[in-house]
Amino acid sequence: MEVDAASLARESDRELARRAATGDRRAQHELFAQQKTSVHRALFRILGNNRDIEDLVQDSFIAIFRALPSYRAESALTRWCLTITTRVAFAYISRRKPASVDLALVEEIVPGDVDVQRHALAREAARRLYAALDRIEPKHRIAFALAKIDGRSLEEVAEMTESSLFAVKTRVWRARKTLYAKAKKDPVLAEYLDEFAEGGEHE
Amino acid sequence: MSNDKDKLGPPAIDPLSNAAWSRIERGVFDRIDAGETVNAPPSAPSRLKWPWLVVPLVVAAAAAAAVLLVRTPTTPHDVVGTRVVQPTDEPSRVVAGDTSSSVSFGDAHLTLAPRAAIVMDHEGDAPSVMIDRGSTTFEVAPRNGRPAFIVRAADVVVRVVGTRFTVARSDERVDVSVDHGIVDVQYKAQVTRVTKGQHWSSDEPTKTAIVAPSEATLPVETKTPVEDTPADETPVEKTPPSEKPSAKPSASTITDRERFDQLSAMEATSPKVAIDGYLVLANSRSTWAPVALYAAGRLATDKNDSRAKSLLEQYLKRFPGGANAADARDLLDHLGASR
Repeated sequence: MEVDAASLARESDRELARRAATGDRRAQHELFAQQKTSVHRALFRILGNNRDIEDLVQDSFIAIFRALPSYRAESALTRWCLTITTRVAFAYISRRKPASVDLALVEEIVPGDVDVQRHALAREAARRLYAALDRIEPKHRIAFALAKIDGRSLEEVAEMTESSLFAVKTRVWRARKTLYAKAKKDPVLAEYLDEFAEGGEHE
Repeated sequence: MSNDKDKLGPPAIDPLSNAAWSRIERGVFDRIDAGETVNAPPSAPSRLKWPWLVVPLVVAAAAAAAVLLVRTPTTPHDVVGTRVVQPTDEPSRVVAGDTSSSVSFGDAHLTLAPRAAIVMDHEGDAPSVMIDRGSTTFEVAPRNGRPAFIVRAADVVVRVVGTRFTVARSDERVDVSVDHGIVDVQYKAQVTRVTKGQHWSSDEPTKTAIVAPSEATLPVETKTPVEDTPADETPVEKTPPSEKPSAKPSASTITDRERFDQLSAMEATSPKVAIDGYLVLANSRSTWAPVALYAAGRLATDKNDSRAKSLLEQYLKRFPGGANAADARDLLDHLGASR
C-alpha cells in the first residue's frame, strides 16, 4: 500500500510539474502554494533570519519554474524543489559579505516571566550561532544547518546539496569543529552548540 | 544544558506575514509574466516539449490585447472593449490596463477594474475564473441545470447559479458584494451564503454585512478596498490613530491579534497607515504591544521612513529582552551602516 501511495504521489507530482512547466497559471499557483512553506523553512534554516528571504524565495521559485521541464519525478517534487532552493541559498551566501556582529556583547536578560527569558535567551543563542555560521565555508554552513539545526538525515542533505554522503558528513564535522573554535570565548554559543553535538550523527 | 528540559532547542522559524507572502507571490508571477522563466521559447525547438501549449499563451495574449485595444475610452473609467472567449480558449489570462475592461466568457459578462488580472479556465464542465489581482464584476446568466460558475480568489471560492456580483482581491483579502441573486462563498472549508445587497469579506468570514441599496449599485471601482488605492491613504493617515478602527464596522470588537493581522495585511499597500496602526497597538496595554512596536520599526526601516531608528530604539528601551530585540539591534546596525 505504501508503494502505491508513493507512486500515486509521484505521478501527481509529475502531472503538476508538467502543467506548471507548460505555463498553466493555475498549476503554477498550486505548485507555489504547495511548496512555499518548505522552501521558506529551508532558506530560514540556512540563513537564520527573514532579512533577505523574500527575494530568495522569489529567486528560488523562478529557478524552480525555470527547471520544471527537466523534472523527471525521480524524487518527490518537494525534495527536488529543495535541491534548487539550496542552490539558490548557496549562491547567495557565497557572494555576500558577512555582517559585523560583536560576539562578546552579552545581552542583558531582564527579570520577568521564565518563558519570556528562555525565549529571549534562545533568540540570542540563535543569533550568535548564525553570526558564527556567517564566518564558515558556505558548503559547511549549509550541511550543518540542514543536518544539525533542521534535523534532516545526512542522506537527505546529500540529495539536497547534490553531494555524496561522505562529503556531507565531512562538512558537518568541519562546521562543528570550526564553530567550537569560534565559541571558545563565547559560553552562550558553546553551550548552545552542545545541543547540536548530540543526536546520533557519526562524524 | 544536560537535561532535555533545559535545552533551548533549534531556533524558531519566524513565519512570514500574509502580506509578505502576497508580495513574494506577486513578484514571482510578475517575473514570470516578464518572461524571466524559460518556458519553451519558440526559437529553441529542442526545448519545445509541448508545442500545443503555445496556443493558450497566444490566446491569452490575444485576449489581453483585444481587451486593451478594441475601443477607445470616453471617460477614465469607461469599459474599453468587449471580447468573447469561447470555451475552447482555455486557460486565458486577461490583464486590464489603466481603465476598466470588459470580457465575455461563454454567456457570462465580466468587467475588470483598472489593472485587474484574471485567468479564465474550466474546472471539468464548470467555467471558472481565478482572480490574480484587483476587482472584477460578474454577470452570470442563470445556469438552469448547468454546472455552477466558479470564481477563485486567494483561498476563497465563490459558486454562482446566476447573479451579478463583484469579487475584489487585495493581497490575501477578498471581498464579495452581491447585487442580484445568491452566491455561496467557500473559505477555509466554511461556506457562507451571500444574497442580494450583502457584502462578505475574508477579514470577517463568518459575517455578512448589508450594503446600502445605493452602494450596492455603485460602479466597481468604488467598492475596491481602501488598501487598493494609494490615493486613499492620505485622508486615512490624517485621521487620529485612535479613530482608525472605525474604518471597519466591527473593528471595535475585533481582537488585538486580528487587528495586528489586518495591519500586517496592509503593509504592502498602505505602509504608513500600517505603521500608525501598529503604534496605536504599541501604546496600548495589549500583549501585542511589543510585537506591534517592533513591527512598526521594522516596516519603517523597510520603507525608509524617518521614524525607523527612533521606533527601534523605543522598542529596545521598552522591551530590552523582547522576542525581537536581536532583530531590532540588527536593523539598527543596518540603518547605521547604510547612513
